[in-house]
Amino acid sequence: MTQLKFLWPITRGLIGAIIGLLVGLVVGLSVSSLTGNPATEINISFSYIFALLGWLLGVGVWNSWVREWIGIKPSYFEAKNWQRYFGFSMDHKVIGVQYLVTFVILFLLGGFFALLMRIELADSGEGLLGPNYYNTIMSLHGIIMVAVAVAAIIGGLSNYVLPLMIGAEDVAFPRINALSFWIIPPVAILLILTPLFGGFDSGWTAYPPLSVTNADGQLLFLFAFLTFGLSSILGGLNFLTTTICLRAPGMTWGRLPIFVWSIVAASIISVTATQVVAFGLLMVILDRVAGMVFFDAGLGGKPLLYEHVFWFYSHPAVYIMILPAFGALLEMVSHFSRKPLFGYKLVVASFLSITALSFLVWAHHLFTSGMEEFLHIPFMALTELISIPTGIVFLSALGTIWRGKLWLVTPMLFVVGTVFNFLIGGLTGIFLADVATDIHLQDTYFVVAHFHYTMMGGEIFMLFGAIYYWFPKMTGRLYNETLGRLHFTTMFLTYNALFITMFIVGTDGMNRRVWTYPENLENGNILIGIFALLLGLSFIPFVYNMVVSWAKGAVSGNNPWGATTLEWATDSPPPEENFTHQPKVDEGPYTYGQPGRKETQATSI
Amino acid sequence: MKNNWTLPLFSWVLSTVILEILAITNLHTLPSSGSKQAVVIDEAFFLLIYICIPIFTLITVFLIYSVFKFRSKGRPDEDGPHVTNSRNLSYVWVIGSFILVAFVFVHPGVTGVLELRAEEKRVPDVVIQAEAQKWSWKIMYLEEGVYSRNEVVLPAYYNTKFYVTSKDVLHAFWIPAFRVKIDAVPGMTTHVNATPTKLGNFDEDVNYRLQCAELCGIGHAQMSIPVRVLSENDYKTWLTNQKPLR
Repeated sequence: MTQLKFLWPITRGLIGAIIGLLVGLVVGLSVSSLTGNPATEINISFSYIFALLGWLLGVGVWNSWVREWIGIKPSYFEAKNWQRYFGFSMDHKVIGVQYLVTFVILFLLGGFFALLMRIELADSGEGLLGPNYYNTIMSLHGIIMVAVAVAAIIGGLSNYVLPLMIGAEDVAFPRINALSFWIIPPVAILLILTPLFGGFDSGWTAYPPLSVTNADGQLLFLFAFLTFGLSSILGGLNFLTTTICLRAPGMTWGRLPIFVWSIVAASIISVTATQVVAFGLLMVILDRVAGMVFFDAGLGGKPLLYEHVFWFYSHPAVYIMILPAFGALLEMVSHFSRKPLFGYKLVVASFLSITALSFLVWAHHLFTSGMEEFLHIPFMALTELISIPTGIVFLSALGTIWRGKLWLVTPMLFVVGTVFNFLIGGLTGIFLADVATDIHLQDTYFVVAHFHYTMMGGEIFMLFGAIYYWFPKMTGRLYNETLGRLHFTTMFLTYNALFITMFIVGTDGMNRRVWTYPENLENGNILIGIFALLLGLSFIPFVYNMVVSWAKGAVSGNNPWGATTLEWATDSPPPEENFTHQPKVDEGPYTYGQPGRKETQATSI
Repeated sequence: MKNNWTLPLFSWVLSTVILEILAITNLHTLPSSGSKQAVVIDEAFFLLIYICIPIFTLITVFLIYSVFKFRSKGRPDEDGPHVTNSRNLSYVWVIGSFILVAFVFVHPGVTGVLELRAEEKRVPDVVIQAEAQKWSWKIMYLEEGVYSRNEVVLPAYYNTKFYVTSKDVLHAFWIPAFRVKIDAVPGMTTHVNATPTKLGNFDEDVNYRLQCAELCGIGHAQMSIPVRVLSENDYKTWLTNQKPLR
C-alpha cells in the first residue's frame, strides 16, 4: 500500500471531481427547473465547472494552498524519484517533464486522428468514418494539435530550462505553475469525451451559428478551450514574472539567452490575447446555455463578430507557437556552430516587433468572409510586413552557421530541417496574404499545407530538436544518436513529401474539412495518405529512443554539448535547488571564439 | 575567404534559372481557368511563384553549402570566429526584404485587388442571388424571376453578380474554375462577380461546380452543385424552362 502512496493526489483529485460532478448536477437541475431552459447543457456546464474545481482541490490545491489561507498547516506529501511526476509537484523541472510527456502523448494521439482522416480520404467516396465521425475526428485533430503547439515548448521545455538559463531557483509562482499543469488533464478528458455527446463538427475554429446549434459535444469543446486558455495565461504570467524578477546577479537583459527572449515575447502574447478568445467562447456558451443571441442573425446577432474576436487571439497565438521555436532554433544554431549568435540585438528587436505586429494582422483570415472591403488592403500590407522581422531569423541562422564549426548531431539536423521547412511555410504565406490569390486558396488544402509547414515544420520540428538537445540535461543520460538521426531523416523526408503534395492538391481545388471530394483529386490524396502513414512510423524510433535512453542511456555529464549557457553549468539532472552555489554572470550567453573563454557563462561566487 | 562566396552565389543563380524555367514551362497546378477573375488571380499566383523562387534558392543554397562546407567530423575541437554581427549585411538584408515586401504589396497585391474591383464596379449584365441552406443551394435569377436548385447556369462572356445569403449557418460560395469565393453569412448579403470567358460544364470539368467552402456541418462536403456556362441563346432557352420565383 505504501508503494502506491504516490497515486494519492490523483485519486483524491478524481474523488474531488466526482463529488464536484454530483454537486454540479444538483445545482444544474435546480437552475434549469427554475429558469425552464433546456436542462442538458445547463447540467453539463455546472457539472463541469464543479468537477474541475473538485479535481483541482483534490489533486493538490487544498493541501498545499487553501489550507494555508484558512490557517491550517499545509501538508503536502511529495513522492520520490519518478513517482514525483504523478503528484502536485511545485518543482519547475518536474512540471516541465509532466508537460512534455503529456503533450508528446497528446501529439501522438492527434497524429493518430490524422491517420484516421487519411484512411477516410484514401477513397473519394465514403470510407472508414463517414460524414459525422469525420468532422468530429478532424476537429479533435485540430484542437489537440493546436494545444500541443501552444503548450509543448512553453509549458514543457521552457518550464524546465528557463529558470536554469537565467540562474533562478525556480519560477516566480511555483504553485501557479503546478496549477497550470493540473488544469490540462480535464481539458484532454473533455475533448476525448466529446464523441459520447454527439461530437462537435465545427472544427477547432468553432464558428457560430453552427457552434451554437450543433450537438452537445460542442459545449464540452468550448469549456475545454476556455480552460486551456486559463492554463496558458497562468503559464505566460509565470514566465514573464520569472524573467523579470529572478535573474541571477549579472544576468542583464542583454545577456539573456535568445531562447529566454523568445519565451518573453510569446508570454506577452499569451497574457494579453488569450482573454479575447475566452470572450468569444464565453459568448458562444451563453448563446447555447443561457439563451442569449450574440450570433443569432435573426434576432440581430452578428456571426462575423466571432470571426474577428476569434482571430484576434488565434493569429497572435500562432506566434505563441512559433516564437519559442525560433528561440530554440537560434539557441541551438549558436551552440552547434560554435559561433556567437549572429545579430543578437537585431533578433531581439525582431521578436518584439513580431509580438507587436501579431496583433495587427488577424483580418487576413477574413478576406473572403464578407467583412468591409476597405480592410483588405491595409491587412494585406500589415501581414506582408511581418515577413521582415521573420526574415531576420533566417539572416541570423545563416549568419551564425557561416564559417562556423558545425556539429551535425540530431538537434542540429532538426535546426537545418526547420530552416528549410519554415522557409517554405513563410513563402507560401505570401500567397495567403495576397488578397487576390487568397480568394482562390482560402479554405483549400493550400492553407492546410501552409500552416502545417509553419506549425509542424517550424514548431514541432523544433520541439523534437530541442527535446534531443536538452534530453541530457533533463535525464543525465545521452540519447542514442543513430536512432535520433533515423528519426530526423525519416520524419523530414516523409513530412516534406506529404505536405508538398498537399500544396499541389490544394491549388487544384481540394477543399479542406471534407470527407468526400471530386475523383480527379483521388491520386493526390492517396499519396498524401501513404506519406502520412510513413510519417507516423517515423516516431517509433523517437519513442523507443526516449524510453530506453532515459532508463539506461550512457551517463552524459554536466555539459555534453560544450554549450555556454547557464543551464549547462549545473549538474545533469540539476539538484532540486538548481544550482548548489548562486551563479553569477559577467558576460553574454554566446562567447564562442573569444580568446580564453570560460566553459560557460557562469561564475560561482 | 573570397572562395567561400563564389560557389554558393553561382549555384544560387544557376538553381534560380533552372527552377524559373521549370516553373514557367511545367507548373500547371491550378484548375482550368474559366473567368476574367481567374485570369487576374492566376497571374498573381504565378508572379508570386516567380518572385519566391530566388528567395527560396538563396536560403536553401546557402544553407546546404554551409552544412557541407563548415561541418566538422564529430565534435568540433575549436570554436568558430567570434563574429557577432555585420552591420552592412543586416542593413542590406532588412532593406532588401522591405523592398521585396513593398513590391509584392503593390504588385500583384494592390493591383490585383483593383483589377478585381474594377470588374465588380461595372453594371452587371446578370444578377443572381445564391441562397445557402444546410446543405443545398437555391440559385435565383432575380430579373428573370426564376430559380434553380440543382445547377448554376450562366451565359458566357457576361459579367454576372452573385448576391450571396445564408438561411442558417456560415457557408461559402466557391466556383473553382472561376476562382471566386465569398462567405454566405446569416443576416448579411455578400457579393462576388464572375465573368465566364468560355463555355464549360461539370461533366467535362469538375472545376465547374459550386462548392461550399466553409465548414457547415455533416453535409458540408456534399454541398456542391454543377455549374454550366452556355451561349446566350441556350441560356435564354434554359431560363424559360425553370420554375418561377414566387
